[in-house]
Parts: sequence; C-alpha cells; structure tokens
Amino acid sequence: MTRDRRTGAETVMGPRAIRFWKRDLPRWGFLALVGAIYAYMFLPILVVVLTSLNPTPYLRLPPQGLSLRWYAAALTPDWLDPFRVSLVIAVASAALATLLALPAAFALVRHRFPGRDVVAALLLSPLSLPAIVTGVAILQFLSLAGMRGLLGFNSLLLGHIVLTVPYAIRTIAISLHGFDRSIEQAAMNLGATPWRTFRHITLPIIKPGLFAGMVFAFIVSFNNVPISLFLVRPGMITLPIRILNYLEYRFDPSLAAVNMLSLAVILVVVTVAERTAGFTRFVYSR
Amino acid sequence: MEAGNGRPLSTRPHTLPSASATPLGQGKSARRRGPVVVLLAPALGYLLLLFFIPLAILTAVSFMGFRSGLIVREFTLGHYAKFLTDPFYLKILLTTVRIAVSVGVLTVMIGYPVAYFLARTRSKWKGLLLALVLAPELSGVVLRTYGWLVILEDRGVVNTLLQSWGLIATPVKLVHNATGVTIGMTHVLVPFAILALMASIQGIDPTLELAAMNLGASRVRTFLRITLPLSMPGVLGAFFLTFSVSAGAYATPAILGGFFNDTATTEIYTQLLYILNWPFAAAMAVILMAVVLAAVILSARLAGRLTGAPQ
Repeated sequence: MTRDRRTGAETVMGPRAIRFWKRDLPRWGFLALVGAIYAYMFLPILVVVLTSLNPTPYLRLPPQGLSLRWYAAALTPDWLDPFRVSLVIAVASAALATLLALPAAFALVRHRFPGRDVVAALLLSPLSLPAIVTGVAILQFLSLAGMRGLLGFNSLLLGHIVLTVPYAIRTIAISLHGFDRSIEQAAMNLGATPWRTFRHITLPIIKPGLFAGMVFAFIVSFNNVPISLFLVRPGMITLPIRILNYLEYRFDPSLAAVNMLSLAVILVVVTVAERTAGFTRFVYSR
Repeated sequence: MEAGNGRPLSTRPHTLPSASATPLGQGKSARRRGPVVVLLAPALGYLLLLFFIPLAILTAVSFMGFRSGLIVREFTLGHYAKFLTDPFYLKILLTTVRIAVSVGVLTVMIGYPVAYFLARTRSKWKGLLLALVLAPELSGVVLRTYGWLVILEDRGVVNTLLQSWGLIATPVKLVHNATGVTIGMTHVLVPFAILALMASIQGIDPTLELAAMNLGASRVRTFLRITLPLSMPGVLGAFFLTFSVSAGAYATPAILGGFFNDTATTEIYTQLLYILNWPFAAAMAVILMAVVLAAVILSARLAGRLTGAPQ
C-alpha cells in the first residue's frame, strides 16, 4: 500500500501505476487507434496494388511472387480506349469549367450585390445534389429536347462541366479571398488599364488557385461515375464506367492493373500540382 | 475527389468565403451592377441550361403517365403513390435509408478519433497528416470499392484468412448484400466525417479539457463529460453529411451490392435503362433528391450553429 501524494489517501496503486492507467495508457492506446484508422484508410488501395502485381487470380497473403501479366491485359485497346476518352474529357471539362468559373468567382468574392448568397448557393448546388439525379436529368433533357445525337463525347463533356464548374468556383474563390487589392490599386494609379492590371497583376497572383481549381476539376471528371453512367454510348465510354460494366459480369485482377493506370494519372497530376501550385492547401481550406 | 460519390472534399460545399470587406471593393460595386451580371452570366447560364432546366423537366416527367412503354402527357401522382405504397419499392427505400444510417453512424465513430487527434495535435506534421486523410479521396471511388471487393468476396482476403485459421468452414457472405455496401461506403466517406468533426472539435476551448483534468478527471472521463457533449453538433452534422452522400451514391452499391441490389440509386438505373419507365425513374430521383437535400440542410444547420454563423 502506498499513499496518494495529493490526497494522502491510501491506494493500492503507486503514483507510477496511476500515471500509467490514467495518462499513459489512454494516450498510447489512443495513438495506436488513430494509427490503425490511418492504415484502414489506405487498406483497399494497398490491396489493389498487391492484386495487380500478384501472379494468381486470387490474392493470397503474403503475396506469392511477382507478375506483370495483369498489366499486359490492361494495356489493350479494350481499356486504353476508355482511358483515352476519360483523359480527354477530364482535360476539356477542366479547362472549360475554369473559363466559366473564373468570372463567376470574381463576381462572388469581389462584389457585393443583392442576392449574392442565393447566387452562390445556386452555383454550388450541383455539389449538394446526388450526382446520379443530375445524370438522369441531363439524359432525359437531351432526349426530350431531341438532342440524343449529342450522347457520347459531347454529352459527357456537357454533363461533366455541370459538376466541375462548382469545384472550380470554390477553389478560385479561395485564392481570390485574402487577395491584397492595394497592389491592383497601385497598378491602376500608375495608369494601367483594368485589363492590363488583370493581365499583369491579378492573373499571376491567382494563378496557383486557378491551376488548383483546374486540377480539382480534372480529378472530379476523371473519376466520375454517376453522370457518365447515363451519357456514354457504345464506343464512347469512360474508364470508370468501362470498369463497372466489366465488373457486372467478370472479376479478375486485370481490373487491378487498370485501376493502377488511373491511379498513376492522378498521382502524376497531383504531384505536378503540388510542386507548382501547392495543391493541398486548396484541398482542405474552407 | 469525386469525393466518393461526386461530392466535394469540404464539409460545407454550399458556402463560399464571404465577400471581401475592403471598402475598395464595396464602394465600386455598389455603383456598378453591370459587370456583376456579365461576370456571372456564363456560369449561371450554363447551369441554367444543363442543370436547372433538366431538373425541372425531370420533376415534370415524374408527374407524367406511362402506358405501353411510352410517356403520356397527363398529370398523375401514380408514380409517387406506387413508390410509397408498393412493398417492393418501400423495401428499397428502407434499405437505402438503413444503409445510409449505418454508414452515418460508422463514419462518425471511425472518424472521431482521427478528427480529435488532428484538431488537438501540435505536431509539425499536422498538415501532412491531414493531407494523408484526404489522399485516398483522390483515387476514384471505383478503385477503392474494387479493393474492398478483393478483400471481402467469397474467395477474398478475409474469407481465405478465416478459413486457413480454421475459424469458419464456408465463406462468410460479405459482398453482394447490405453488409458489403455498408463497409465500402463507410470507407469512402470517413474523410468527410473527419473534416466535419475536426471543425467542430477545433471550436471547443481546450482549456475546458485542461480544467477538467486539473480537477482530477482522467483523460477518458474528460472526453466523455466535456469533449464529446460539446462536439455533439459536429457529430450530428457529420452524420447527416455522410448520410446524404451515402443515400445518393451509385458506384459502391452497384459494385459491392451486386448491381441489382435493392438500393434507390441502382433501382433508378434499372428503371431508366432496362425497364425504360422514365416517369417512374424520375419520381424516384425526385424522392431521393428530397431525402438527400433534407439531410444536407440539417447538416449545414448543425455546422452553422456550431460555429455561431448566422442562419
């Protein structure tokens, strides 16, 4: 038996044991739990990596060797064609969304006008709706308006822009927010026209945000399922939809290799964006 | 990000930083309205044509008749009545809501420790650790869901391990049912819950926790009596956020539920592209939209109350 230093009461535990039970164990237990959750977050991605390199059709742990046979299966026109479609749509919808978003973000951040909050909510509303509803709505709209001919590349591009515009607006708005406008004022005081000021002062300063918005839009479009789902047509299909269609009937590790292909694109894009524009600070800023 | 299911990696997708309060910007724009209209026109016009008008048409179609495979121009509430009375479709609605509730609860439970850690850590790696939470979102939902299929299927990682340890004789059914969909969707949406919870926990004054511990409360007791109750708005906000995304998700229920599983989104797909009953598919889409928007609004209200932002 020992005495508690503070209360003087007799306890069965020494001060060390108390510190262990009351402080150290909860702390280390908590950190272990957080570590485990981090591991869980990456678990399925790790499994896809392992599956893509595993020689047998079913993944065994520990892995039983190394093989690139699934990559050989992935690098065929069956997968490369949809892959190319996804890339082109993602680049085009990101670029067009940025063009639409830049002036809108300017208006929202720089100007105060009646109904500004409503306009902002409207512009961002595609993000709050289930995207599958948007997909259904666009398909029915194109059909009933007699524009079924647009289905395929055009409809995919039009549909993706609905979703990429709000992402781009939000990211660009973040970069415009906290912009020191006295620099612009100085340029104009020195006689620069508004356009010249925009071109030589404003644009260079918000370029990282613009670029981050474009990358955001690219990723959103590249990974999109619920809008593409209704707007593809035979011969003009995006990679995620091709994977879904394949999964409906078959299931083999070539899919893991195909998924690695798209993961590689995302990794390259994000790395470049991080190096040039500090992408991550736009990801979680609010 | 197609964060999970076409959603942003932020807890408050429908908010923007407020207008810059510099007198410079205000004075000028108050005088000239013209530029604002010109600046907003491209984006608003685009969304009007390809988002708001299509949604209006969708809603209109949901009230139209459907006979012998054709849309009939008449007004009917039949599709809504069918969805809300036919036991088959009621079951679909219930399954969707049940999965969404499970996902909401699980994401909050799994996300809370990480959110608490990130909100309170003074590590210089905090930025990196936060980026790591969000990184999986950048890979598509299809990739991660495929990963779960490899883990959970009959001859997958889990079943093989359990069998080799002699714990089970026959594979446990973990995919092509609600269990698989819940597991996969929870994983996709945990980062959303973490962001929402983190914002809420950061709003709690850490000195309250220190005071409790100074008065002799253990860490566990401090958490249960101080931190958790104060973060309840964040907990509910995170719940409704992941609930709403989960209810509207398609890819995960399709892949892990086996494509013809009974969830609202997969049923909309079936009705639209296989049965070709567009008015009924539209009615289901409108109902789904209503459920999701209700959850989104609740989530935003709770997040707003927490940060003291005006409603």
